[in-house]
Amino acid sequence: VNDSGEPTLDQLRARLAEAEETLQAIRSGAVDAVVVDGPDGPRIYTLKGADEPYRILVERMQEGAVTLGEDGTVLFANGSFASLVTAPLEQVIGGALDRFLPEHEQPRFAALLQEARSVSVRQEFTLRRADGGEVATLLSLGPLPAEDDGLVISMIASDLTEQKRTEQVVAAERFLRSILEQATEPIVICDAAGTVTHASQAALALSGPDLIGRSLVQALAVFPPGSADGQGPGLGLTGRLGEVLGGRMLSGLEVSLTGEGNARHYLLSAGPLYDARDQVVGCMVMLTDITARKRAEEHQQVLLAELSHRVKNTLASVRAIAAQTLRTAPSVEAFQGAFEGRLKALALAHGLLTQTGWSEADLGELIRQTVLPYLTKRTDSVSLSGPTTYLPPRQVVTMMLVMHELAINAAKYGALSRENGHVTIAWAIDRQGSERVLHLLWTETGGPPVRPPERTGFGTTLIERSIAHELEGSAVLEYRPEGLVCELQFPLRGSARDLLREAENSAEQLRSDLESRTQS
Amino acid sequence: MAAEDPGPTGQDVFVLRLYVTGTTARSTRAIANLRELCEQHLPERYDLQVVDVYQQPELAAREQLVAVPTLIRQLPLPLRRLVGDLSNRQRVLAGLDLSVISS
Repeated sequence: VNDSGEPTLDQLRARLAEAEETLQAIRSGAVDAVVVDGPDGPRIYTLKGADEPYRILVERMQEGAVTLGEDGTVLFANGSFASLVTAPLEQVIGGALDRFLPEHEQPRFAALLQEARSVSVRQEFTLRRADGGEVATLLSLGPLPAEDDGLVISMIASDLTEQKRTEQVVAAERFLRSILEQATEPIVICDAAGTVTHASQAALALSGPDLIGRSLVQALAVFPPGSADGQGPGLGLTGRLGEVLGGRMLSGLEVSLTGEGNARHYLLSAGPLYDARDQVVGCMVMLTDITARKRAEEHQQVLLAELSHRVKNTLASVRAIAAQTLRTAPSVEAFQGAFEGRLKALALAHGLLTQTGWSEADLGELIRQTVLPYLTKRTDSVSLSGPTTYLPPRQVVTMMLVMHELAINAAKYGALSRENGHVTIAWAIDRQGSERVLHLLWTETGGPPVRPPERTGFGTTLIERSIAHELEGSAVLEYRPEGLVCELQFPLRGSARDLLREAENSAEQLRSDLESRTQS
Repeated sequence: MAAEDPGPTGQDVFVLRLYVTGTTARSTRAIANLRELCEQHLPERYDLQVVDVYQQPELAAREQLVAVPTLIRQLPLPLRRLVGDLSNRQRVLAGLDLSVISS
């Protein structure tokens, strides 16, 4: 100390060194407490407070913890919140929370903050992260008692990413299920190990209700070995499904289910299913029912064969008609007229059969069409009577030619050549054992007097021979003076419709028998 | 003095670091006070970072802190330090050389 009582430079240096030493001691953690002068004397501040455990709890908790000023300034944020919004902690604290909210959400947050001054509130917000991404959160806000009169608001931010993902998975699962429930085709979904996890109703119906949980190979065992077309050597269905789980598509493999009289054909398609990281997590197998298509293809083959058969038959008929007409025709002109007429009859027969898909033709309609061209004078000069009768194709052609010969003969020389002439055509069906026999009577009246022909013409020959050979029946031509009478009879080799009707009649008969017996 | 330290001009960007301790009343008050003051006197030209020395002790170590809250003006130079909750507005403005600008 000098004369004026002021400290010397050395003393000041010593004090400075002492002060620095004290500061160093505090800074390096060499002291437990500091003594601070207050209005009521010195106060002791311990350097580790009693609230330290709570502080550490907040710092380490998984949820983001934030305290906000009334204006939305971040007064405190923990590391979890900083990670959530991918910003350095020192840039989070001191700034406005708004910067982590999309602009259109800021008014909603402001309203929530206002509400949180008095009560605890919570709402979901999608936060905008510093790295440009987004994160779904649940923000819970509430008032915090502050040491002074100010108001501080606490906010806990819970990351909803996992929850949202779970919700999405649940929604996707529900979506998938509803697709499978409504799919009309058999669809099977399996995991990467080849175990069936989902199946459509159609697949369950095909394979049985215990399909789920079984291996896909077992599930597809409903298809007998070798039922799949186009298998490469040593590479069966199992091997191919293995390839699908390896990431390859499989399409257009035909498989068949052999059943009793109802074989089903399917087109098997399969493809791998990928997760978000492009890893194969399973595969989907779909069967498209192509039974109808297969049947149509088969039907087409049958039709082609049938068509070829018919063309051959028709050509044979034409050749026979030509040969016969040639043999009996007195002149080229006569040949031409007769031949054309017979070809027309053949064409009419084909026309009638085509209308029913070449299955049968109505006898009455057949006769009407044959005699119609010769009814030039009166339409009532021919009368028909008989039950509705259907003839199968082979019988149609023969009957058409026979009726044509009778009609043309009547028009040239018989009843239809006179104005008052009349032809009655009547038929009935007679049952002989298991067969039904058609009796048909062609009776001409009112024509010119009839004499038996001097020589047998093509017409007579055709009628007698074809009824005998083609229809396994008999034809009797009787040249009565008042008019020609022709009696035909041949067994009906039942058309499909006749058989059906017969079956129905039998069933009806049985039923009435049964009823009468139960009543008596 | 004026020759060595010309003081900030109207164009300088202020880089401020505030060191606080968690959620203590002084710390939160310091943040609120400083934000309000910056928005009023330095709109659009201040960079404020707040370091919680509890959570980021490594950021605090290099500053040789003795007491918290401490505000350090890193730019414009020279470095300035202010200790306390920054509730005395005039002292803070003077400490940051802002009274000159704003007046």
